[in-house]
Amino acid sequence: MEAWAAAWRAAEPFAHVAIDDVVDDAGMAELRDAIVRQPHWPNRGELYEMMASGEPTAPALRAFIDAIGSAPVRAAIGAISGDTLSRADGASYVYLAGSYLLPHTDFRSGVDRKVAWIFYLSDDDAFSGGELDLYRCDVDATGEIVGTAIARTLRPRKNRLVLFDVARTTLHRVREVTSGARVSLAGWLY
Amino acid sequence: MMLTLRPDVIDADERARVRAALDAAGWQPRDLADRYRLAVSTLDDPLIERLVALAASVAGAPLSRHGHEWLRLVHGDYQLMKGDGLERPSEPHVELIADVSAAATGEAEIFYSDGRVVPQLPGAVAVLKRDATLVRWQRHLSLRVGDAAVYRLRLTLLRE
Repeated sequence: MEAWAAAWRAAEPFAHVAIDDVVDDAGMAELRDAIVRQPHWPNRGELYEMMASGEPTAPALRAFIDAIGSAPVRAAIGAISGDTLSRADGASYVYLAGSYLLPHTDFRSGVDRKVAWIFYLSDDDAFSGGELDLYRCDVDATGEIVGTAIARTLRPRKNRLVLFDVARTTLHRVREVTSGARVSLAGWLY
Repeated sequence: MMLTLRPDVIDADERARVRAALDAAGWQPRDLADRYRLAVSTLDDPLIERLVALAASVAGAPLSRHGHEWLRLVHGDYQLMKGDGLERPSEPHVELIADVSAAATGEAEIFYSDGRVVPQLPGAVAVLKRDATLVRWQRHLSLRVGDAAVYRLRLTLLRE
């Protein structure tokens, strides 16, 4: 845990960590089966186009999100991020060819998101594109972002959990998927 | 005036002429990840004066040019509300959008925060009133557009 906490603190362009091989083979099979049974709906807006579950109903997906929000996991992630975390939420997402999530921060005034989480379910060769880009931001004296550049790209590797800090300048995006299907669970810890 | 959309205002030959002039003059990239990724030009072109007259007839009042900007969007480009909100005029004004693209992409619509939508329709001109609260975003161009490019004019007009 201390190694991940150190990695979180040292990470550039902002605090994050990627933890691989989070669940065993049986657990992964159960999650992937649940994704197929979980309805996903077209979801398009200013920032994104993908398929999303809304509040998941498939028991295995619910169980995973509940596990992220369980006291021991919250304590473990809090030990990494240095936060006291009270709950988690999440949903499942399917990015088909042409799906994307444009650069943005998850920070919302009055919403106490502290850590964002993403867990990847697709086989590595099941899709192309869909990488997670993290941006370095130049900020002026007023706190306004005046410059941006991709500083780190994370491959959405199967069975990888990515955690990253939620703040005004933790800008990130999901690159457009160019083929196949990129499936993930994602949400926030508060 | 909610939003007036007039199709077939600019024919294919004139659109091609304007695109050639813009490409010859060159484009300036505008890339700030949480606001926009596109290219802009401030080339003056005779078409603009004709569109000022059109906007005045739609508005039913004389209008004067406040500013204009040509935009070019290709696969991967977009403009978010944050980018629009920081750069639009603060005073109430009339906005004209003219599409001089070669073809429709089925994407790159302009969405205004009050629900109005301007489709990406070559040759069409949209005219609408804007105030300080209204912002807009231009939808990302996905891989589905291939090598197509969207060329459009944003013309800002004030009542005389």
